[in-house]
Amino acid sequence: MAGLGPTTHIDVESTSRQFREFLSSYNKLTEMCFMDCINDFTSRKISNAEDTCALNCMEKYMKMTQRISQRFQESQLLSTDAAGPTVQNLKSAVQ
Amino acid sequence: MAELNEAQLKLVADLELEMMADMYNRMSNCCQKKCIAPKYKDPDLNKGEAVCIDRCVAKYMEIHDRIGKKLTAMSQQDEATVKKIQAQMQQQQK
Repeated sequence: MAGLGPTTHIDVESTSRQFREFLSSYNKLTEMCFMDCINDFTSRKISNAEDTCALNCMEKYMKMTQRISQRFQESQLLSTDAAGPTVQNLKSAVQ
Repeated sequence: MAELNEAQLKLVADLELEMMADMYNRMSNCCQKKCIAPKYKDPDLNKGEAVCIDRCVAKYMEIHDRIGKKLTAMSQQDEATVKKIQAQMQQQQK
C-alpha cells in the first residue's frame, strides 16, 4: 500500500468491498469444511486426517470458485454481441 | 498499510467486528448441529453435550486459524505470480 499516493474514493470503496467478500468467503469456507471434516468430538486435538481434510476442502473450494468464475466470464464474453476488437482478441485467446 | 487514515482504519475495524460476529454465528450453528440432540426432555446440557461443545468451539477456532493461514499463503503466492507476469509483460513491451 505504500507509495500509492492519495487514494481516491472509488479505490477505497472497491478495495473494502473486495476485502469484505474475501473475509466472508473465508468464514463460509471454515463453516463448510468444519461441517464436512470434523466429526469426532471425543478429542480436543485436531487429528491429521481432519487437518488434511479441512485444508484439502479449502483448496478444492478455491479451485472450484476460480473455475466457475473463469467459465462464467468466458460465457459472458462469448455471448456479448457488441464485440469490439479487444473482445475478439480475447475470444481467440480462449479458443 | 501505513497510509490508512482514520476513517479507513475505522472501516477496517468495523469490518473485522462484523466478520467476527459472522464467524461466531456460524460456529454456534455448527456446534449446535454437531453436539445438541434435538430432544428436549431435560432443560440442562448433559455432560456429553457440554464436553462436546467445549471441544467443538476449540476445534472450530483452530480450523478457522489453520485455513486462514493457508489462505494467506496461497493468496501471497498468487500475488507474486501476478507480479512476475506483469514484469514479464513490461519487459516485452520495451
